[in-house]
Amino acid sequence: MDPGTAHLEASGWYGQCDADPGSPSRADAQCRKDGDRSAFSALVQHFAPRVKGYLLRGGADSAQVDEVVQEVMLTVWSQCSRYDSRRAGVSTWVFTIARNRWIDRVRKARRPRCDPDDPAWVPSAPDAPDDALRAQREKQRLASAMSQLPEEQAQIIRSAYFEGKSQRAIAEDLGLPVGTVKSRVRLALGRLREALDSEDPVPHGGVP
Amino acid sequence: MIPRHHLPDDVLMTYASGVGTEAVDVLVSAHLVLCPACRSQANRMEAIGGAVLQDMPQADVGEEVIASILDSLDDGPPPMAHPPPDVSAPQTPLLPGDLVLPRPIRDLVVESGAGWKTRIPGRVREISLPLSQNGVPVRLVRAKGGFVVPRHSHAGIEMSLVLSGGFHDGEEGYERGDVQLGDEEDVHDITIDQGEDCVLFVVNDAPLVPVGFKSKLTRWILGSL
Repeated sequence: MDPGTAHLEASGWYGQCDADPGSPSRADAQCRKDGDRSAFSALVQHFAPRVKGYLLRGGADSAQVDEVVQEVMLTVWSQCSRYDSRRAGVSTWVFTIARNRWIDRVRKARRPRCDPDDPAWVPSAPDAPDDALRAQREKQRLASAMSQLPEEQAQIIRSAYFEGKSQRAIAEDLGLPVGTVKSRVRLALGRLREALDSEDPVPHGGVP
Repeated sequence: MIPRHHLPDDVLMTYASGVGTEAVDVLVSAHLVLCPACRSQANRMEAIGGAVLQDMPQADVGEEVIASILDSLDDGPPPMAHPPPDVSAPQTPLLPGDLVLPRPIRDLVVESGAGWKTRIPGRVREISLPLSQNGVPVRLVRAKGGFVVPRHSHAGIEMSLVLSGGFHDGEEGYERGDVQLGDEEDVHDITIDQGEDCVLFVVNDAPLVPVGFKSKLTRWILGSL
């Protein structure tokens, strides 16, 4: 668990949102109780400045970014019944919403969503019972592996995620061949995956 | 059906970090709808985004912005800048049998209103979509079983997602959900599998390079002229 979101998790805000994933209306109603509003307010205080920092990275206009920050936080609130803590940490969930809303705006087109309600959706194998625990452990291992990446790899990951740069643009900035950037990305992702797989391997591409 | 040919990590990372092009994002998200393994990998790439967001330098958000968020909680979800098209009305089936297009592709086709155009009578039809990669239009291609695509390679990258039927490139077989990636070093020798029509979503970032003397014919068949 991120230290910064520990108190949010402890407040049970999305614990309640998650109470009965099979019944969105019930979970929705629970999220709208006054107690949840104060927990949500804490979440806004925590994430709004970070989301704004993320959206400002490309030199965007501050007033426009404020609008998107509001949209992002209100989307988080309105979609809490769809949030599944077994699959993603709350920071990951907020990140994906911010990314999608921002791209919708700059592209002037809807960013394609990978949506479980898609009629073509191919479901994953049923979750193992200890999945929530596994997700927590993965999150901790990911954070520690990220902090241990060599600077030359960490820099590229940061540029890709937070300066919104393509691998080609990163290569130009650093005066490196694209191939070198690609291989550093591969090395970094390899290390992160190794860290994630160290206890409970999840095969990629090897689904039985 | 679980796909056997997947997307590489760097493509998934580009998608997850939000710096991809629209055309490739459509292909990746459609593959993720069909492929639990890549979905789980993409979720991890998004978790990297979550972890970096957590460490993000914080920007000043005015009290009035926070207040405005908290005052709007009863107003319902914020409107989408670009809502998805309504696909509840009956559509002309775009795939053989009961198969459905993943929403990212279906939305694009519905919005464009484009229909199949014959490229080779009785063999190949295509829909040219209002979306391009480096100026090369993205296409939905529908080919009859048994059709043989002349040997060719690509000046840039080609990504194809199989939506129905299947094809073989040499010995290697591809079916619904599978992705084939090719670059300038690959030479393709493609035969459409017998049986139902093969429908592909194809993103190229440069024209095709036919191999051998039939080049004009090949280019015409492959639709890159």
